[in-house]
Amino acid sequence: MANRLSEWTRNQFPASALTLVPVGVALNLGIGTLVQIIKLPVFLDSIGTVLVAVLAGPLPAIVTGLVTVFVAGFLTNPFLPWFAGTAIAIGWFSGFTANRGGFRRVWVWAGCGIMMGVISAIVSAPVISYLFGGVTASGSSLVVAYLLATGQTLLRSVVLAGVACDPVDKLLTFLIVWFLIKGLPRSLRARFPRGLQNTMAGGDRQAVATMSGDAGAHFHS
Amino acid sequence: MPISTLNPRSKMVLWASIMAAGLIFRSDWSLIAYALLIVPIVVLATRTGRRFLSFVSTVVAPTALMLFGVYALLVPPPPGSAEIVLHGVRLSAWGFGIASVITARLLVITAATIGFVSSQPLTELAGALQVMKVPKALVAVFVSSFSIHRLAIRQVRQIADAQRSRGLNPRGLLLGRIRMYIPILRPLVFMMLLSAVERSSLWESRGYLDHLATTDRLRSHDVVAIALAATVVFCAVGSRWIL
Repeated sequence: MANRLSEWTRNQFPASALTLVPVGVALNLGIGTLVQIIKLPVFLDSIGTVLVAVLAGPLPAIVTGLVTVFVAGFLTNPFLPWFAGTAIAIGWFSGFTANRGGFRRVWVWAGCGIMMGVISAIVSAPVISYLFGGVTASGSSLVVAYLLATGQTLLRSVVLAGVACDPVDKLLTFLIVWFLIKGLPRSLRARFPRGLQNTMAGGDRQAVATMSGDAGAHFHS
Repeated sequence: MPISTLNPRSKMVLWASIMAAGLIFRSDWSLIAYALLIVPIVVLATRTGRRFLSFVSTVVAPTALMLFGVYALLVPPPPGSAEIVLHGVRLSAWGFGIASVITARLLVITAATIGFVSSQPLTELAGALQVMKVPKALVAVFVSSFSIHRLAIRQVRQIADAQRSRGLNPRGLLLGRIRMYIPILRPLVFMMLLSAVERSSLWESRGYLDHLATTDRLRSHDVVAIALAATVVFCAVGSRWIL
């Protein structure tokens, strides 16, 4: 059983997926610097996780998210490790939808981004309300305070504020990843475990498979 | 029982129990002072060799996580009534304060780890983790994340400066600023993915996916150390409930 588990782990994490994890972590952390330079009113702190999910699948994306929150907890913000659950949810959902073909059409991928925003708001809500009392460093705390004043419970206020704000951020994240990956050459995408399967339309995949088969036939003859 | 002959895992558990005794303190300041006593040990570790370095690193981070988890279970959530904005703000500030205190405990203990990680070269840290039988692949991912993060920040600034010299203006309308995000991000992602492909060939050639056979086994004094540690942790947590 232990051998089967280690074999399964090795299949989920080939070398190309393992090297993608630090890239995803660096993108998640480095994008924050870029957002400050351009002065955007969003976070965009999961671009690396979603990129790894599309190119390598959900498990490497989950690892990317977890390593990001703990490295960021060491380097920049000690409150981030509390949001490990949110990082897991983002990694799993984006990998799951990419593996099911969500990436191949931009409007489907955008819908997945909106859904991701709702899911991350729901997953983060208990941490924000029970641990931080509804107060975070973002502007959504004002929305929480307003909803509290209207008589809502703390948890409900945090959920509603999150559902109002997070989908925009995650939609932008998913769209940016779509543009980035579509701009990559096919040869580079092919170097990663799910790079071609998740990013190519059905006809293109068939064409590549046929070309590979023909090339193999020529080689063996 | 000579500590130097203990298995690294049982050493960790023994040290964790000493730090878990900090749970007995009811005052946060007493706990902080107690935890700060650990800092000289880390300072000593930076002056000594890889063995002591790996020993301390085995202890600090898992202990911090353990204390963090136990306190998250023991500290009650703040009360939930909020009828006016002022009461809501006071409630939120108190919740934030509790989170800060919990995190302060973790901060004090992990400050030692941060200072330790920052003061050691990454190759030494990687070597220490491998001595502790952490899989090579995991070590490589963790250590690379620290080094690539610094490289990514430098590259972002370089690309942003280059694009600014080509007319990029970060003071325009929001839609324009979002559109100018892509010309900066695309070369950065492309360069990092290319380096990831090169690194994967490098790791494969150095056998980073091979599993090390281990001859570690727990001996009788390891069992005694673990039992002693478990007793101390149980007493510390139990005293928190009773006292």
